[in-house]
Amino acid sequence: MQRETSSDEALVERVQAGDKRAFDLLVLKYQHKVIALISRYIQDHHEAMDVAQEAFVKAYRAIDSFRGESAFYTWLYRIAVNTAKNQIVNRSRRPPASDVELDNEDVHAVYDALADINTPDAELNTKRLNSEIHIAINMLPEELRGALTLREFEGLSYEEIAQIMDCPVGTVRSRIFRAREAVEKHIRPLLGEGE
Amino acid sequence: MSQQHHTLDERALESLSALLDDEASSADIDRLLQQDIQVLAEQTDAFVMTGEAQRTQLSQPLCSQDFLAGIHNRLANQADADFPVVDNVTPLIRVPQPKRGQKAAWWGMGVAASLALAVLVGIQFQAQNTSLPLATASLNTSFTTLPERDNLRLQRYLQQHAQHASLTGGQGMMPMARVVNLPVDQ
Repeated sequence: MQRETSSDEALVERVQAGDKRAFDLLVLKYQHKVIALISRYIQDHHEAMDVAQEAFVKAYRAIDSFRGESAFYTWLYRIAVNTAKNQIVNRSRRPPASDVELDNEDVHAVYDALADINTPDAELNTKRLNSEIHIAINMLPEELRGALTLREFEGLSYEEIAQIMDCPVGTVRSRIFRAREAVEKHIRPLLGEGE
Repeated sequence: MSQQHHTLDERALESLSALLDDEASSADIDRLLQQDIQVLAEQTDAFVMTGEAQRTQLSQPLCSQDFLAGIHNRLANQADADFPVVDNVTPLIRVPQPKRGQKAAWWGMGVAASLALAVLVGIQFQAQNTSLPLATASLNTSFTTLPERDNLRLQRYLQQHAQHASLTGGQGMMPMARVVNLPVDQ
C-alpha cells in the first residue's frame, strides 16, 4: 500500500505527462481543503469558490514547474493563499462596474443579499444532513465506526489504525470504505433534496 | 453493507475512499481514471461530508460536479486567451519601431541614392555622346541660360553633390535643397 505522497506524485506525474483526468482527481481530493483554506481569507462562499477554482487553474497551468521538492498540497496551499490575497487586493482596487454610484459597502450588501437568498432552506437542509450523518454513523457496526472515527476524527493513517485495531492495513481500508458507503446510502435521499 | 452501488463498483468506491485518505496506490489511481469523473465527483461529496460532519459541524455542502465544471470552463476560456486576436493585445515584447527622424533619414538616403544614380547615369550617357568633360556636359544640359561663371560654379557644385550623396546617403538631400534656392544672379 503506497502512502500519501506517492499517490500525489503519481497523479502529478500523470498530469505532467498530459493526462488531464489525473488533475481532476487532484481537484476532487483537495477541493474541500482549498475552499476551507480560502474561506479563512474570503468570507463570502461564492467568492471563495471562485477564488478556489482560480487557484486550481493556476496550479494546473504551473504544474509542469512542480518538481516534487515539497509535498503537492504544500505547493497548492501556497498558490491558494496567494490567489486569495491577490483577490483581496484586486477587490479593493476594482472600479465600479456601472455608473450607479454605490460605495463599496452598498455593493457588498447587495451582493451578500443576493447570495443569501436561499439561506434559510440551505441552513435547514445542512442541519438535517448533519443530523442524519450522525445517525448513520451511530448505526454502524463497532469495527466500522471505530475505523472511520480514527481516520476522520483523529486523522490517523491506515497503518496507525491497523496497529491500534490489530488488523491488516487492507482491512482498515475496507472498513473505512464500507463505513462511508453506508453513511452515503443513508444520506443519499437528502442530497437529492438540496439540488 | 456490501450491496452493489448503482454507478461505481465497490472497488472503484474503495479506491476513491483511499484517495481521499491519501492512501491510494497506483492501481487505485488507474482504476479511478477509468471512471466517469462526474460520478466520482458526486461520490466524493458524500464521502467528504461524512468526515466533515464527524470532525465538526457540517458546513455548506459543496457540489464537486459544479466546482470541477467551473475549473474546466476557466481552462477552456483561458486556452482561447492564449491565442488572442493580435489587434486587441499589447505584445509583451515590443518590436523596436524606427523613430520619426530615423524614418526621414532612410527616406532621404533612398532619394539621395536615386538622385546620385540618376546623375551618374546621365553623366555617363552624355560622356558617350560628346567629347566634353563629364561635369560640363551635365551642366550644359541643365543650366544653359546661366552666366558662364555660375555654370562653372554649378558644375563643381553638382559634382560635389553627386560624390557627397553617393557617400553619405540621406545627407545628400541637403546640398540639393540649396541648389534649388540658388539665386540666378550670383
